[in-house]
Amino acid sequence: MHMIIRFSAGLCRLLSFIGGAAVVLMMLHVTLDVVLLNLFRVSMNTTPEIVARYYMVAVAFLPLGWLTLRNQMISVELLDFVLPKRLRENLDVLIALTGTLIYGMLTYATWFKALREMRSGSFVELVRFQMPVWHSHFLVPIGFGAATLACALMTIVLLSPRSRELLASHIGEDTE
Amino acid sequence: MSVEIGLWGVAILMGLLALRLPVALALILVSFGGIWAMLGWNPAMGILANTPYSFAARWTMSAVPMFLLMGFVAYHTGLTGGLFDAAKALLARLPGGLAISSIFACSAFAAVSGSSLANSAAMGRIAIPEMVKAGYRPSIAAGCIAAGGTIGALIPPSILMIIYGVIAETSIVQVFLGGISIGLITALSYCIVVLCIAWFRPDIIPPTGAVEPPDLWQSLRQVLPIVLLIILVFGGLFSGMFTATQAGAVGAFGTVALAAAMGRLTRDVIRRSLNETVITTSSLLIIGIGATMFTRFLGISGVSNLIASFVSDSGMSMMLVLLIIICIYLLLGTFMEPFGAMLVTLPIFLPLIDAQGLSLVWFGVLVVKLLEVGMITPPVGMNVFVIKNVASRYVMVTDVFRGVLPFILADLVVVALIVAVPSLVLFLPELVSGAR
Amino acid sequence: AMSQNLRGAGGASQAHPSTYMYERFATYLEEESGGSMSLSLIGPEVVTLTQVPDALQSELINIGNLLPLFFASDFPRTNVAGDMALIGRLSHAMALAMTEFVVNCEPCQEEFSNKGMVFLGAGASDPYVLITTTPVRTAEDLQGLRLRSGGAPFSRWAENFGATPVNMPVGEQFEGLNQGTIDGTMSSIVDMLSFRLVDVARYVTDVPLGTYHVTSNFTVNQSTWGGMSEDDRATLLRAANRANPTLTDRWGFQLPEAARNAVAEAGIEVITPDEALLEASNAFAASDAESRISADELAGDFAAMVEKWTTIVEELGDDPVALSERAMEEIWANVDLSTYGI
Ligand code: NA
Ligand code: NA
Repeated sequence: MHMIIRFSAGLCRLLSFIGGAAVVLMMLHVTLDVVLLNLFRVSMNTTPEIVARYYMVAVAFLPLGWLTLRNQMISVELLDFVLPKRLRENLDVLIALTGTLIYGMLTYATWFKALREMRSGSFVELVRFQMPVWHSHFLVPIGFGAATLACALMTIVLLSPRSRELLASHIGEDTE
Repeated sequence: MSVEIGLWGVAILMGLLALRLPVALALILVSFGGIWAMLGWNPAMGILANTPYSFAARWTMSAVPMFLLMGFVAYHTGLTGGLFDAAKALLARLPGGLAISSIFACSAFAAVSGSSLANSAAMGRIAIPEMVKAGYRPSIAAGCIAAGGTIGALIPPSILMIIYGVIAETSIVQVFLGGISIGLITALSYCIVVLCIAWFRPDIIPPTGAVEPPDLWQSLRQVLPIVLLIILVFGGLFSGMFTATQAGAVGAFGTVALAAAMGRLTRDVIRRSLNETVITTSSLLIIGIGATMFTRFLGISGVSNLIASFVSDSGMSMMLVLLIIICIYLLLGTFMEPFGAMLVTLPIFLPLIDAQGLSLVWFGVLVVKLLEVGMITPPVGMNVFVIKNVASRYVMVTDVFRGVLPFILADLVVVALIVAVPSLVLFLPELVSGAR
Repeated sequence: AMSQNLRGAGGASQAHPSTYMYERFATYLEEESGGSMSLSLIGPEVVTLTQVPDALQSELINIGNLLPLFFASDFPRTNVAGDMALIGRLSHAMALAMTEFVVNCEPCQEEFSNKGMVFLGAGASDPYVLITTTPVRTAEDLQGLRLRSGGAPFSRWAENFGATPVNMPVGEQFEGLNQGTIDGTMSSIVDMLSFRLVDVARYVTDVPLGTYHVTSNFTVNQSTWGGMSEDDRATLLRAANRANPTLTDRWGFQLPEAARNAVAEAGIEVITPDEALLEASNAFAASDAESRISADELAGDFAAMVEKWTTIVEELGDDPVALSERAMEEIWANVDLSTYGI
């Protein structure tokens, strides 16, 4: 059990870290484009496509697992104060199970979509050349896959207080 | 029959949200189930397979993480704090001075941020703890910032206005200009709300004197960096050095560079800013993906068409049509995300508005204002969720929703003003285009 | 026949020519079938132009407006016609040449078949022009300009005249012109209205650059098509064939006229360039087409179709009804509906 928790938390953290790297690259890449254009009238025609298809996709999907483990999926706590604690805890398990199911289906669907894109080798046509973009489709099922794993883990964790502490120790630091 | 499924979908969505299923998952689940029921398994799986990538992989969407990063870095390096301090130095002596200062700081920050979310996030971090410390009821402190954040989408640059301009095929610059006055009027209306509460309910907002206003000159010096950033972003934007989408990245880079020059860019700042940017971006985009699926589900079910024919076939007066349109936006705004809401409604409403001879620039500002009201109404209020994210130590989501209530009333007054006096929106665009 | 309701997506907003065409198509389908077939129009909030292939494949829609140039990796052979854009002068001729080309081009049919789609005709834009913020009267004026390009042939044209082609999403033209990140765009004059370029452009140079004609207006899901009786397929085809020229009529004539009026009203100067630039431009278009033809047999096939339909359209005029009747005789009458697209 300990191994599974350690592995999942590590994986989700790593993916989220890659998402952070994409944010930094996005900032530098776009700024460089602006600077080159204004100082040297040189335009890197690939910037919008690289930003959209690689950086944006990475930052959108890769952190989903980390998000789930840290319980930062946005939800509406409208009835929180009405529901008794027992019921709320049971609901939490049900929610984690539903999440596993939905993320699992998303993983399945986007994985086959990515395979189709790979088979047709999809690219975008730019001014001078064709830029392949099919690789980036695989970031989607990777992110959803991690989220599925995280939701499944949350289900277990919610049922066993001991593993809850273990998980907390692996997510650690600022949970604010 | 499909329409029935559509309406059931809305009801079930409400139920799932009330049971605390995460918003994104609820939207995805209902859309998938609904499309499955209407068209079968393949189209339903198709929606799951195709929507996520096509929603996220967009160049214009990159303004979201970039403006978020800018806000988070500005916050963690204390740059936005200067803005708040300067506003305090000028306004803290007023009743409810801290809240009024934070509203003005929101308005200033709006000039560098493209969305109300970034605005709420950045200001929420600084102002809420301070207000709570000064004896404000946490719900009103949070509500004030959640509402103040909406000014971010009204004062340009504004991602929503860019998207409206593209869909409505009208001048984005003109919509921008129309937004300036409404952004300022909104800020003013919020200040009046704060003053009223401070006057009648000192138990909620403590009267003046609770805080020592900082020294004016010192805080103005603190504000200098953020003024430089505003000059960088606005100057670059209007002199043609970069586009509104690029402005986010340049602004973020400028903020990082400035912080580094001031020696405030520590490893901890970088780590926290990136972590928060990544988590906020991802959790917002996944909701956007869910909302897009839900919009497609409603479109297929025919609920959207039902609304359109209801409005256009009945031969009602212009005022009544407008009133209904406003009510529909307020209703949709309760549970939909603004991009999706615009996509469903604009194809229906724009021809109606055009046929009535009303200005599309004016309508654009009205729609953005209405959608921004939706950002703070329950059960799905994105600004409120962001506030909850950045101030979870002080408030629950329900507290924030309670706190924004008086500001929503002010919003309704502003909406009525926009409808009653269209020149409030149009005088700036007309001034500029007349001068050309 | 059994009554059948089809879901169709034009993929675009109300003002777009595609929506105009699909609204007419819905009427024609009811008329041609005597009411037994009907079309439910699916709006852009459900399916946009970029989502049409996915929506067709997942059977979310039965018929959609597909733009093969958006999906370059899936339609490399069909898009050879797009590489010949610079020779486009007469909109209807380009549209019908495209239709006849794809119907008879085996590798193109294979591409559609591989994606589970059936092709029922194309449409075309007006010839693109230069929309700029600095005046372009001579070839020298083009030197060093940064021009947004919508595709490889337009980029080659720009580079030939010493301008720099810039890749930019079509929706960003407005901001690009407004802020001077580009000096102009090579576009349809219709963009003056559909992207509000009237607010930022200052000059239009009437140098005909070529057309956009690689469209598949009514792309039918293959299993929908295969599941229909031959009679129903014929009915669907008749409706599509009647609707096809309405796209060109809208995109190539009605909307450009409206845009020209708006241009005049906005005080934008319309420049007729000097003879030398016109000649150089036409010469480059011809030599560019030659180089394509020598490199690829299909480009030659397409050029032959353009020649054929240019003669017909010059004689017949721009009436959509007469053109659709002619298309039925020349193109679709030779198609065996028991095997086409299956
Ligand atoms: Na703003
Ligand atoms: Na809301």
